[in-house]
Amino acid sequence: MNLEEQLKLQALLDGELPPAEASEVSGRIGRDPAAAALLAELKHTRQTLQQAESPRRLQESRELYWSKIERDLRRFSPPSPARSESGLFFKLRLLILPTAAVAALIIVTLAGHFYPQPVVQRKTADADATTVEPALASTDAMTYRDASEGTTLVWFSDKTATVKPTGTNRVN
Amino acid sequence: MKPISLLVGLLLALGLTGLTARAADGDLQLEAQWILGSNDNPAKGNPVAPEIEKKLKRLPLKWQHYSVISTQTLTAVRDTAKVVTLGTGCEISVKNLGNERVELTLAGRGKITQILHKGQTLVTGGNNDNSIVVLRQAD
Repeated sequence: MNLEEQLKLQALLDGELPPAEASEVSGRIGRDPAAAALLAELKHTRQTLQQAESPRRLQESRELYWSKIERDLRRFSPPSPARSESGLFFKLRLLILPTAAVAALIIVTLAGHFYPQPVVQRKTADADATTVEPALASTDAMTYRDASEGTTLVWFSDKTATVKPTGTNRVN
Repeated sequence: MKPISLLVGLLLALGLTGLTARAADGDLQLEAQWILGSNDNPAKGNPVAPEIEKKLKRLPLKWQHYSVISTQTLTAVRDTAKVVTLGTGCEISVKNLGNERVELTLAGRGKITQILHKGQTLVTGGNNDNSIVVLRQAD
C-alpha cells in the first residue's frame, strides 16, 4: 500500500472522500488486511486524541482574542527604519529648524550692524555741505573746501570791510 | 560644545558689540586749537603739528606760518553744547548733533554745522583778526 492509498484511508475516516471513491476504498479494505489494520489504527488514534485532549474555551470573544494577538505581534515586531527616531534623517530634521531660526537671528543681527553703514554714508553725503549761519546780518561768510585733505575753511567777514585777510590770489 | 551653544554665544557677542558701538557713537572726542597766523619767520609760539600745517598751507589764507596759542581737548556729548574758552576773546561753543555732525559757534561771528569724520578738519576765522580756530576729532 503506497502513500496515496494510506492518505485515502485517512480521508475516508475523516469523511472527505466523494461517495464513489469512498465505496471503492471501502471495498479495498475488505480485500486488503493491511489496509483494514491501518484503518483500525487510525480510528484508535483519533479516539484516543478526542478523549485525552480536553477542549479549551475562551473567556472573551473570538474577535477580541485575535485582536490581542495582533496587538502583541505589532508590539514585538522590530520598528521600521524609516520611523526610527535615532535615524540620520530624524536627527537632521531636529537640527534644521533650530539652525534655521538661529541663522535668521544672525542675519538680522548682522544686518543691524552693517546695513546702517551705507545709510549713514548716504546721509553724510547729503549733509556734507557745510551750513553757515552768520551771527549778524552785516556779516558775510565764505566757505572753501579742500577735499583731498578733508579740510573746510569758513571765513566770516564784515560786509562793510574793505580789506580781506584772505589771500584771494590763492583761491582756485 | 554643541553647535547651538556656539551660535547662541556668537549672537550674544554680536549684541554686546552692537551695544558698545552704539554707546561710543554718542560722544565725540574733539580737539580745538586757537592758532595764530603770521608771515614772520620763524613764527612765535608753539609750532602747529605738521599735518595741521600742511592743511593750513593749502587753504587760501594770507599767512605762511602758524603757531598754536592754545589747545583744548573736549568730549562732546550728543545733543549737548559745550562752551570752550580758548583764550581771551576766543570763545567757542561745540555741540555734538550725532553721527559725527558738529555745530561750532564762534561768539559774535556765526554758527557752522559740519560733518567731522576722523581726519577731517574745520578751520574758521574772521577779518580784522590774524587768528583762526581749528576743530577736528582727537587722535
